[in-house]
Amino acid sequence: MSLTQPSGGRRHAQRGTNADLDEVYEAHSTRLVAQLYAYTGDLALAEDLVQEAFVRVVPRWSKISTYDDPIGWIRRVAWNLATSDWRRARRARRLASATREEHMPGPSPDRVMLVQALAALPPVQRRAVVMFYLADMSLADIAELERVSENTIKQRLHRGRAGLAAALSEPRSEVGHA
Amino acid sequence: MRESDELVSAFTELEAFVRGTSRLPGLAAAQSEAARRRRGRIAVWSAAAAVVLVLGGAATVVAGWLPRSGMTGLEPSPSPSVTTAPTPSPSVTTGPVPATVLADMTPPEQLRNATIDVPAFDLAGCPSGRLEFRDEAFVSSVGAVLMDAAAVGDVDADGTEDIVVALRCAPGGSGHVPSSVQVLAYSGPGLALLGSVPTGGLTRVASLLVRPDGDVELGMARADGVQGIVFDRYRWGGSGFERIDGVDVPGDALPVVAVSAEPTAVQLVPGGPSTTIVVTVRNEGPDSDLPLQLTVVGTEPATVEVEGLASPAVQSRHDLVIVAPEAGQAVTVTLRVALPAGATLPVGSSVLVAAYPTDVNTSSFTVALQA
Repeated sequence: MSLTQPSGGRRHAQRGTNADLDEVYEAHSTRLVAQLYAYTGDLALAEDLVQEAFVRVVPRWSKISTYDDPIGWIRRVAWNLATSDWRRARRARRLASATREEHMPGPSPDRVMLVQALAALPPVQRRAVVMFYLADMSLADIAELERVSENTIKQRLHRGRAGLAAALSEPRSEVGHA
Repeated sequence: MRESDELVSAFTELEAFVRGTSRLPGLAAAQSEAARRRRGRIAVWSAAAAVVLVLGGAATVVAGWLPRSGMTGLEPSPSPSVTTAPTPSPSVTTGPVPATVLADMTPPEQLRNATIDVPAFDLAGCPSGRLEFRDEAFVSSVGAVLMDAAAVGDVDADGTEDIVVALRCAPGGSGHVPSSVQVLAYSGPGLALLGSVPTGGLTRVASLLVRPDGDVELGMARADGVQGIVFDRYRWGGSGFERIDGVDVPGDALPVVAVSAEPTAVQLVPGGPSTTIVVTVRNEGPDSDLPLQLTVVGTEPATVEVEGLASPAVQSRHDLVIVAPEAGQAVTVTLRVALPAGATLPVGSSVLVAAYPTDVNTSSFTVALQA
């Protein structure tokens, strides 16, 4: 199976192989991490969420690969995990064991501001903003994923952007301490 | 939005940071973990790795034409000993009561690997004609056709059961290729095509069942993309299906549900490991009595039986339609899951229970199995 349609018009002819999934992982996993980091504000948690999503995709890949949008399916699994009890349980375990990765460099003030500003948004606005800016999803695609109208997504984006703009325009000393 | 250079720049910087910092374990690790779960801890949970609930409607709709008690949906062979769910009382109920299971949308065994006639979809690149399905899917060089849901019942009143199935065409290709769904009825041991339900522009099935009187009830996403679900009822008229009723439920009328689950200890019995999971669904929204789609998804075939509904098929996914609780109340669904003899005892397994009412209000729950 190929996830990109060649010029010859090859479609989802066969069920997905491990090689296909490997391509998907290489091409999309880090982008997914970035999106979920922006949504959760926790990089290690975002990595866990994405890895868990792929763990769940592996045994079902032969079927998922035949879907219209297998990448979208994986993204949805990861996002659902991000809004689930799995996320809360994972976060609690991490806090309990204090296993915060040491390899992470110190956050820059700009990034701290952005992540904090995102965290202050309502979840629906945050999702819309992250999907739009980081996942490069169209309004229609976000609306489909969120099962709301495009106008609703426009509204959420407008409010989310306003919230971010307000937060990012605040004096840096109020939010950035790095 | 995209003209906001500062914001774009900030997100670009954030993504670059993640690219330079993130250290994912890799696909091999994911495959190894998946295999480990499959071998041991999740062995049974190869039977029911996830329970997914999908919202199907609202109270005012269901009360009108979905029986709220004693509805046995599509039990293949009605028995005098059939258990009927208690009729919800209008008075305040303090604890969860058993949910009324309306139907099993899982394609029956005889259909999952059948060769059937499929009319042309209204979308280019969709296979049609006489198609040979394997594990609920037909995959060819031009695209795939998948069984999204099915229901069993006597739709043509000939005294024998028919199968109504929702087939979704996935023409393939990357990106967001639109899909097309058609709902078809098949009759007799040879699964001859009886007729097509005139849904028109259907893209997703939320619920599907055949009533005891033979009417087909179909819940589907609105064709215009606006949040909400349309419920239509169709009746066989001798030569085709006719739409006889329908209700459009707007998105803001869709209730919010929360789900939790609790397993009993895994038991080793001569037939193989088995366990029981009690799923509790609470309606936290303002509306009542919605039909819910309850899907049990696994990676390995297993027997899943649901109280009040004979559902013995050995396969990896079961789709049920249940009546959800009234606002502020809860119902329980008891799932009995069994693996074949010789399967590994799933000590320490975990089970994900998730609710997807509208995707906006997602609820999930993870439970651990105990030996």
